[in-house]
Amino acid sequence: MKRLLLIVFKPIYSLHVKEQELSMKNKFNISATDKSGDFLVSENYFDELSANILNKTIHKTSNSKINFPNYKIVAVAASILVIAGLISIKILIQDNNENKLSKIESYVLNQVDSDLIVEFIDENNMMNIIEIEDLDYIDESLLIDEL
Amino acid sequence: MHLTNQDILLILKQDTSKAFRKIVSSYQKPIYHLVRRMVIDHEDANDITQDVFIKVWRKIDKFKGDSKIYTWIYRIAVNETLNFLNKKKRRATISIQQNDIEVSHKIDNPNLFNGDEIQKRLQKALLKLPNKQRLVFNMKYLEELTYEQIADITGTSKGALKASYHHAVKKIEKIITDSF
Repeated sequence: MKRLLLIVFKPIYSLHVKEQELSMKNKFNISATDKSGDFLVSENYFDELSANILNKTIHKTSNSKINFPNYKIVAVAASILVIAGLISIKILIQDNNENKLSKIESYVLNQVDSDLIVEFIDENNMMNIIEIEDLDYIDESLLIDEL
Repeated sequence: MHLTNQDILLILKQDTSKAFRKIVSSYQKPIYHLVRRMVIDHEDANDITQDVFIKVWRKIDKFKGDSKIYTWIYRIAVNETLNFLNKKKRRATISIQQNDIEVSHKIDNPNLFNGDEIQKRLQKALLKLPNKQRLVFNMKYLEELTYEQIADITGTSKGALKASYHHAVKKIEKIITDSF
């Protein structure tokens, strides 16, 4: 078959003969390893190609193997922090409620009918109204005025 | 150039990554050229070649040496290339003839093809062959594989390959002589 092709190519080649003598094999053998006739690629193309291939295969797998346990640790740590945060907030709120009556910043005592009503502003600047019976929860030393 | 099955299986047992690197360095060039001759366009050939080796990497643990390593890789490359060409044809909004003309123009582009006039004519003639026939011709004539090797790669019988190659040569001869 190669001979047949050479028979076809030979007369055609003679029409295009150049001054340099090129061996028939080099001229017409468009094999993968023969540079003449190969498609043009840049000098470092195959280095880039193998780098790209390795980045998408070996290096990609290695990176994901490294990241995966770290991801788990981060997720667990984040969950612990959130839970701890929620617990802290709950304690604070509870604390706040229990202690707020002991930290009266100002108060006004009013009498409405026979009930003693205390209006006071607590540490959070919130107006509170309590009936006299609740004064048990108030530190008496903090009372300024009294009826 | 070709790694033997023994070489690759030995390295695979010790270190998969090392075996894969050897495969890439040994076969990236021939695979690229095999694909490029079929698709002509460098960017397409570049993408397909990378896809071939990504598939090789994913399946490398399953390689047990039942076939030769290069047969196995070439088979993946052939399938990827034919799939690409078939998809391209299905997606083409222009006629197949126009598509072939456009690809043929890439051969005329001096930035893409450094061969002389005869090689250009050969490449253009090859484009007129059906994809599988063109592939067989490339592997037989250009890559100089044996019919047995091509049969292993394509899964086609030796007799069918010989007939296909014979017809391909006849067609190419006619196309080239008619063009002068």
